[in-house]
Amino acid sequence: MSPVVRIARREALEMWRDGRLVAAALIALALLATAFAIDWQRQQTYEIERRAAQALDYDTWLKQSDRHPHDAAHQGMHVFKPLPALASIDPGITPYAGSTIWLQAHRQSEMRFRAVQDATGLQRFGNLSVAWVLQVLAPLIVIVLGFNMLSGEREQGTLKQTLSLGVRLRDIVFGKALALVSAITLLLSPALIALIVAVATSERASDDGLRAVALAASYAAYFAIAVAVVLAISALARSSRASIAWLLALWIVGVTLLPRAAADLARELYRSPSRAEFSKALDGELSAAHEAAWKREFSTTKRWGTELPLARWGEALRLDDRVGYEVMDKHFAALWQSFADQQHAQALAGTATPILALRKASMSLAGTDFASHRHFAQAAERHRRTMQDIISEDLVHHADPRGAGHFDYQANHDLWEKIPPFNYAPPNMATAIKEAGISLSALALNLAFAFCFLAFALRYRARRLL
Amino acid sequence: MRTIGLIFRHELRLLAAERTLWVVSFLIALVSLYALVNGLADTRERESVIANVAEQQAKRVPAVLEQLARVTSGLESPDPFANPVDPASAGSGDVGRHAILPYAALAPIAFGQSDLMPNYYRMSYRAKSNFMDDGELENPWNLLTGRFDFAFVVVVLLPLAILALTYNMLSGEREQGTLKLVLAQGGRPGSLILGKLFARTFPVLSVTLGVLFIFVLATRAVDANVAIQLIALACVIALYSAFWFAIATLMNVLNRSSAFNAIVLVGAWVGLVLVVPIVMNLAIQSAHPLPSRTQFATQNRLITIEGLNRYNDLLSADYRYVSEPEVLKPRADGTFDVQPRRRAHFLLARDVDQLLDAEREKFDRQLKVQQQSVDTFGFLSPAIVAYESLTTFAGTDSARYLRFQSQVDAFHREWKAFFEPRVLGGRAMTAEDYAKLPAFAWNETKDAEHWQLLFMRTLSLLIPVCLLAFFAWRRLSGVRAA
Amino acid sequence: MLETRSLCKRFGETLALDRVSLSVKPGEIYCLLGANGDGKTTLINVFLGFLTSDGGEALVDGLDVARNSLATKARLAYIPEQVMLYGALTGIENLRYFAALATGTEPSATDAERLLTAAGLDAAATRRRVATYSKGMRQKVGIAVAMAKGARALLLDEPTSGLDPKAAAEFSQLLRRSRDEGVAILATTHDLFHAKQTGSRIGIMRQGSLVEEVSAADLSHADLEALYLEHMR
Repeated sequence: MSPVVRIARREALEMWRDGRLVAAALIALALLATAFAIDWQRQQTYEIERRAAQALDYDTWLKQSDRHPHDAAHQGMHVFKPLPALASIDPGITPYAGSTIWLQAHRQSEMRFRAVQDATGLQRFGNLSVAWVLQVLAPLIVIVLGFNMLSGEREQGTLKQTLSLGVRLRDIVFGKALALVSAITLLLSPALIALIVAVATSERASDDGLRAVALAASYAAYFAIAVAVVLAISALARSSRASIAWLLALWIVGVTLLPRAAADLARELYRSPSRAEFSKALDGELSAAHEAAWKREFSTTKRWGTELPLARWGEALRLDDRVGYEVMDKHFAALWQSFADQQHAQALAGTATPILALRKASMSLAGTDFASHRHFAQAAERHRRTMQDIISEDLVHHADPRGAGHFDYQANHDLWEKIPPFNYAPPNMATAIKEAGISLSALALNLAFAFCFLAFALRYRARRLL
Repeated sequence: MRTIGLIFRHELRLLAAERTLWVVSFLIALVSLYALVNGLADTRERESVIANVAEQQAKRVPAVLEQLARVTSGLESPDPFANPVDPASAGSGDVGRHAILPYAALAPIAFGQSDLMPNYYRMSYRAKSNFMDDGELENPWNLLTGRFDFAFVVVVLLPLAILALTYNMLSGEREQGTLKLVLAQGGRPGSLILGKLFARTFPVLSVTLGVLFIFVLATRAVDANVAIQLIALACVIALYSAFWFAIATLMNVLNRSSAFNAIVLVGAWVGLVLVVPIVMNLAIQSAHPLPSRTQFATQNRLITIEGLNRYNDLLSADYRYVSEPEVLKPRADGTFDVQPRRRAHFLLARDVDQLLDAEREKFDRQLKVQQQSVDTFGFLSPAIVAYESLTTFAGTDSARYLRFQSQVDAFHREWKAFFEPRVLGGRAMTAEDYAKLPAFAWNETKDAEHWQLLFMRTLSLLIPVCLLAFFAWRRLSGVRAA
Repeated sequence: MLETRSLCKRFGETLALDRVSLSVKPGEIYCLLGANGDGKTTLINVFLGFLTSDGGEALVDGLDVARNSLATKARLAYIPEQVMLYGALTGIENLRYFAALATGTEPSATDAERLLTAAGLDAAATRRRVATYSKGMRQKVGIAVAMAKGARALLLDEPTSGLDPKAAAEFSQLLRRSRDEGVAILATTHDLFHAKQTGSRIGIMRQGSLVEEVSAADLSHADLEALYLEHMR
């Protein structure tokens, strides 16, 4: 047995005996198990409901009575955002983003029914999930288990004694790192089990399996950073008291303060409009574009006025739609881009505090980040446009020829059938990895920093053993 | 008493010499100021939005009235869908009437739900699903992270500052050996602790509250009512701080080492500030779950389809204004030919609201139950009580937004009731009608309720403080010198 | 076995070791006397490789410490004033751990117990957690570690300070036994009585220099005290 393993074993035995490990394990188990049980159950229920609702929605669409197509379009369809299996590990922005889009005539809608609007102010403290425990509490556990690993031995004199036996400082540190890593692995093994359960019960097990591996790797990197920094500070600190003070300060700043400051900064850098601004700009540009188009096509700028015979209503609706698509694309793209930019800026800030990098990577890999949300919103909008185009086309061909009897026209099942059901395929693992690129790099960079820091701390300490 | 004063002054000198107090006070002042500036910038932006809305609203009715005069005198032939004579146009939003929730004077102290819930709705007789289900536009990631506001500083950071100053008040002296000397001089542990406590409480609170007061007085309109609120707010912050001072004091009289105190106190902070609120959130959501929004959307759809079927005849009637432009003008008897399709839309919206209201009710009721649970069990974590109080003072708490929504709901009914006889009975809009248009006036809560809630919250902070102080006092005689 | 040649060490302006040359042969106990800060502990730290010298050489079994720090440590055992052990572990567990780190093979529990009882510890005490041990008991564990390691030289830093007379006598007994087995022992101490009692040779250090070297047999206790005070004046 190498000295590294021996030291690790002894260290683990001590942690076990002094009760720290047991206490931490119980807390971790309780929180992880509760979080996963509830999130997993929520995800399963939601998915069952969503499938049923989505099927029912299309069914009622097909079975609706004969009516004017524009009225059918007004009533539209609902599409429901699927919740990926890994949302039971990391719900990401799910509670803070909507779940349902109402696809209606005329206008692109936003997703509504954000869970946070259906919750009390407590929701703003955060969201208990496996990911939250791992991101926020796990580093604290590493700190509590490891803050005095080197400083304590230096204070007690056991470090000197061990070195006098001819053991290298490096081996001692590696032994301790090994003990810390094993303890963390043990403590957080419920999370690993949760991950396996989530993947095993997933419908897209192969893709989710790959995502889970990447997810586990990212978290492993995060904990490695924590272990390296804790050991480095424990090696550098003058005393255990100084060590814990520094580590706690780092944790508080990194976990609570910097993320909020980064959110403020990102909002400054990439301004996103308020609802009022957004609506005003969009409405303004839409009506300008519509007026221009009407002038061109119908030689009037007064929309839906007496100048437009009912015989051209279908045409006018089609024109309105087509002109609107571009304008809406522009505005929604700008809005979403500002959100995406804010998020990327914060992932970049993850070079300063790894939790931001990990949070983004974790969400992207779980498929609960803004990019996935946007992907769904875009698919939904495409579906809306498909529906709109088919309906306008139908109006032009069947209602317009009727002249003043425009609303007399009633489409039937044949038209309803032309609108395909909404089939949505979430982005795959490769897209998620690409989306997580910046944050994964930031995490890797952090890991490299942390190891360099540890190496520096060891060299420093090796020169000043006494 | 004299001893306490003496120790107080001595401690202040010591703390000042050690620089810890300077650093902590400076940091607290800095983050408080940053948070307040941040909050003010955001509040001003939002206030300008609603000021703009109010301004547009004020301009809109005179403009509509002018147009009405031109149309009735035959000077202008109106648009079919923006016709001031047509009650369907006026009722569906053309008069630009809004329901507006004003921002409170203390709004900059807490973002609360203001980045989530709209402070204004454009009134129309359309179904609520058309205008009340959307939230404010905000990046969901930012909603998740939360913002750097004064409430964050008070609830999360201030306790840390307090713990940093107090975790080793006595244990540090014991470890240095000075405690023995002090007690040997005949000092009593009680006066020693009180002196030390005052020396720390005084600077921390005066910095935090000083920054708050100066900032609010300098940037917001402060009347007597706001001044009282500000004082009550100061009391809540003081009590919340007192909780952390008390818990640190208790740890210090238990004769444990500084390192042990530090770990226990940070553990308490993590538990009470981070873990309990989110676990309680989950518990309350599981105990009083809201109905499913997915099913709600499905119901909305089924109800709409039924309505479409019901009014299919009206909907199939064609617009006649192209062939008969005179239908856009009021008849001599004051009636107006509201287009059947528009009547159908009114009826459809009315029915949808009527049938869905029962469902909406379930959401509101459960949410109220959840909020009550927060009020009842909030005492388990002073952080929850403090946060809820601060958002209440800021007027950005979820309860106020819920009240706003229910007032908007009432206003919406009033609005529909006003237009129903006009749209269905085909009565042309007149200048008198426009003068009688329902207007929204926000009704702030009854003071009694507000103060009762505050009283309960004060109690749920005060009781733990008293308990902790009592236990600390009981253990005083057991304080060991070495 | 232990040897220094004109060993120098400076900390900033002060010379902690000033051309110290001494030699401890196998089967010899060398007691180094001197006041606090006169360089005794520095000398031990140089032997252990915790400090690098600024001149001269420190040799263990003929090997230069500076160049062979691991090889020389393998031949040494170090017992500080307060032998530090892991409080949560029992005496046997501590011994097995340290012995395994030193030699690469872990002694069996029975071997460990035998070593500990040989070092004078109660059989019952060997199974208790070390947190309950007195200072003397900890030192016995230290000796047992040295025995397990088969160390050919012992470095002792103030081994008897704070021990009650009975524990100190037992400890001296242990040292003499090691000496008889051919171990070279270098011990720093303030304790003139202990030095006279156990030492084969006695050195006196004063401000970093070795100012006197005498054979313990050549002096009475009173002579030693007079000599020491003479140098410390």
